[in-house]
Amino acid sequence: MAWEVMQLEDKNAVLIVDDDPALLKMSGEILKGDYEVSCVKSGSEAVSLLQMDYMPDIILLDVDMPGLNGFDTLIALRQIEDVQDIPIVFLTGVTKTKAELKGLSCGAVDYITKPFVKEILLARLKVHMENGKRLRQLSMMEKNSQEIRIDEEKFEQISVGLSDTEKKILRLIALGYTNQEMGEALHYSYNYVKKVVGAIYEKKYVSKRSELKKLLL
Amino acid sequence: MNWPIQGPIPGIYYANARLMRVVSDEVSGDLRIRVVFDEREEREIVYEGMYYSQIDESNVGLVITLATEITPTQLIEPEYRQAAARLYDECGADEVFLKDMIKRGSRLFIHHTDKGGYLVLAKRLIWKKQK
Repeated sequence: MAWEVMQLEDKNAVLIVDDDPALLKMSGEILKGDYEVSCVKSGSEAVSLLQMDYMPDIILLDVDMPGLNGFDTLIALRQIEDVQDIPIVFLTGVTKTKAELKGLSCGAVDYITKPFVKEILLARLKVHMENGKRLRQLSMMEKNSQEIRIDEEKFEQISVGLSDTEKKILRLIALGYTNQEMGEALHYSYNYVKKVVGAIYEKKYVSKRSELKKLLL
Repeated sequence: MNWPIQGPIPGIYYANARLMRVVSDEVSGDLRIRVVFDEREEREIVYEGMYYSQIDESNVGLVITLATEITPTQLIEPEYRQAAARLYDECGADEVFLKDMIKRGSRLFIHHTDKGGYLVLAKRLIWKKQK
């Protein structure tokens, strides 16, 4: 008998941290159409969760929570590897300049007061999400240059005859980047990346990216 | 909404599917396969963001008994060793490279057949809607 597991469409993931169940429900309802929404009720739950394999694209964090408050939660989250580049937006019911300054200086990217307007929340999340992704790509590229080593001498030999753009793309192919990731990292359109990849294949007489990667071994 | 969160876990994607067609677009990075279930129901499956595939046109006719997802550390297991050796031989993908790709969202799919396992390293597996 044939059976399958349908793959969920890949949405960006939002983690909401708030001790107010009503707010969690309301936020979830607002965001679930555009995002994969997950919720926890305390700062300590958020920290435990991110210490496992879960990695959201953005975190909405309530300031006033019992136990670990928003500020302390943010500081604890930033200690976790890979969470450093995830944008964190504070949610608060009270606007106080001092608190807002404290939140932003802790490393939050924005401060949204409750109750929030749906369109504004979505628009601000979108901006921070895109910025966050770009930062993570750059951060990953830096880490990659330390962890995954390309034989630079071979790279120089192989990249003879390639333009500067083609060399940048070749390096990312060797690091295992997809076309979409290369586009995001280099701020090129997907179609342009595809065109450059095709040009590299032609110039280097290969037909697969794995063949290119192997050339650099 | 998920209460509590469950992280992604290796899953089983499909079973008992005969390969009817394989189209690998290495420039775009997509692998499209057409399979038939129970010799009746044809479906198209796309592996988007494909970096590497051991499935190609020469595999048409093969029956995929099980398509699952594995982690890089599982590649040392005896049942995956042949596919792992081929992966390393064909693109030099070692554990560091694979772990980095998984970290950035790629998945290691293994397709079990009577001729052994076939790996595909891609971002996602999408079922195309039947027309």
